[in-house]
Amino acid sequence: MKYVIEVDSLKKEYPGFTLDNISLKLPRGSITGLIGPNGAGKTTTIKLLMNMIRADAGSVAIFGLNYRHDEKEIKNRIGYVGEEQYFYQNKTLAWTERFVSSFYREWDGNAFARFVESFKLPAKKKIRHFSRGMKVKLSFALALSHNPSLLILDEPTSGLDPVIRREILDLLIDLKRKEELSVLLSSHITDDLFRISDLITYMVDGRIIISEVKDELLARWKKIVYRPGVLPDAVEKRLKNVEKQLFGSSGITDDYPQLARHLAAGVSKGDVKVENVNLDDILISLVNGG
Amino acid sequence: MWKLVRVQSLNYLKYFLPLTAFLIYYFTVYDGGGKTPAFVFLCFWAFLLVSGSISTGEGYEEKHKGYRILSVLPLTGREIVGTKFLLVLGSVILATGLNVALLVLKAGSPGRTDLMVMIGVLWGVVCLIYGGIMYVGIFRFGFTSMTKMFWMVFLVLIVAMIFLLGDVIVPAFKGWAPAIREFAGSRWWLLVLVPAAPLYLFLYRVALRVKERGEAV
Repeated sequence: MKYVIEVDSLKKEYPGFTLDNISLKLPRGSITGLIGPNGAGKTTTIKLLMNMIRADAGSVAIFGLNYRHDEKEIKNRIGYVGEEQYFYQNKTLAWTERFVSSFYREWDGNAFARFVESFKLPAKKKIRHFSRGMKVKLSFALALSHNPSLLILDEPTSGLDPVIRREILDLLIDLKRKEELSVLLSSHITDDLFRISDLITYMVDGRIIISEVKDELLARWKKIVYRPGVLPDAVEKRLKNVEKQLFGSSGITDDYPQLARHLAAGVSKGDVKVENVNLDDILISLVNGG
Repeated sequence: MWKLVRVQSLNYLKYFLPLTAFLIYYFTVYDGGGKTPAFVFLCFWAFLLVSGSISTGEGYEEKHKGYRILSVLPLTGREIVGTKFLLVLGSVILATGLNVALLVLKAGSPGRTDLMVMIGVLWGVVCLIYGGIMYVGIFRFGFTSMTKMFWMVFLVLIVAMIFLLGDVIVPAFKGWAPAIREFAGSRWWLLVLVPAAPLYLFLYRVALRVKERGEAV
């Protein structure tokens, strides 16, 4: 099995929002970052992947299986952490572990204990007294202790302070070393995704705009800084998000290899500087429809 | 599924046990001087035991977003809905068993015992179907909306009982009493259980369908 997630022509309509014809493949062993502005459809897509909501059309296959026949098997192999953490608040961590573990085929109590220890989570305190960061850590401990093959993370670091966010990301980087684990991570914090993702999928207005390998994406998208007037019109028209200023203009290209040929043909090297873009630049460019 | 039944039955018992203890106390020790008509208890206590247990369990689930918690665990809709229907069935069996036992204790004559057993069991069937309908509604409209509907039905029942009990029900029962007693003694009323089982199963399937079409969040 090459892909852990195969989504084909998925559609979900709400009043005022449509998730439109989403198709997506997540290769085994990869970390895929799902980026998009608020309301792009990231959470809806993830809820469909978790079978929390029903699609109006299209299909979802996880590990080559579908929810209609194999919901239990699929969920036995998925670890999920959402943006909001839901627990029985009047229970302790120890009770929660007993409750959750009873439903999984494989449960590694030692791994759970290690996570609890490294996250410094109190075993006997009621969960309603946990901070948001502690609840996120508990969610990760629960999601990882049944040896999942796929982690689905829906903005898990949103609203957390930088120290805890870093801890969570370091954990994911550690997990990335285990090749058999695949991760789908949704976030609008592009720095997080930039650090750990192999593939990037951009969503805007309920559609997938781009889905490709991060390094290839970053090789294709470049920022061109140039002296005003030196670029031929045909080249300048290819740029997105052009900002014209008196002493130096700039624009973004999504096809740098081709643009480079034009630049090499008629522009002197000193008049043009090529810079790497970050995922934010690409996102803003896509959202602005440039 | 039995793990879920075990965990969730605790929420049912939290309500069931204190109310049952009070019912037993009232019937066996207090009893208001023995003047309270037995079927008033049947109508209200069994109904309160079942609906109150559902409300306590579902209130807890709603408070903690229980269905959202369950939606990410390796559980099927069939197991989640099946658990609820098993708990209702368990509550009804316990409530009916208790009611019938208490009523038989109070019955006095053998003819009256048959009558009490019939009324107790038939009312249990009513409660069972009511529980099934409640769960179809809970999965379709949510617990809060169903609670409002419950109180409306409950208040209408109370008002109806107050107005109809003395003037209509009791006189009507007196007129038909010999026929009803004979019917109770013949055991033909047990045939009511035959359609009750498939009807409850049908409600389970409807609830499952509603749950699977609905959204966990």
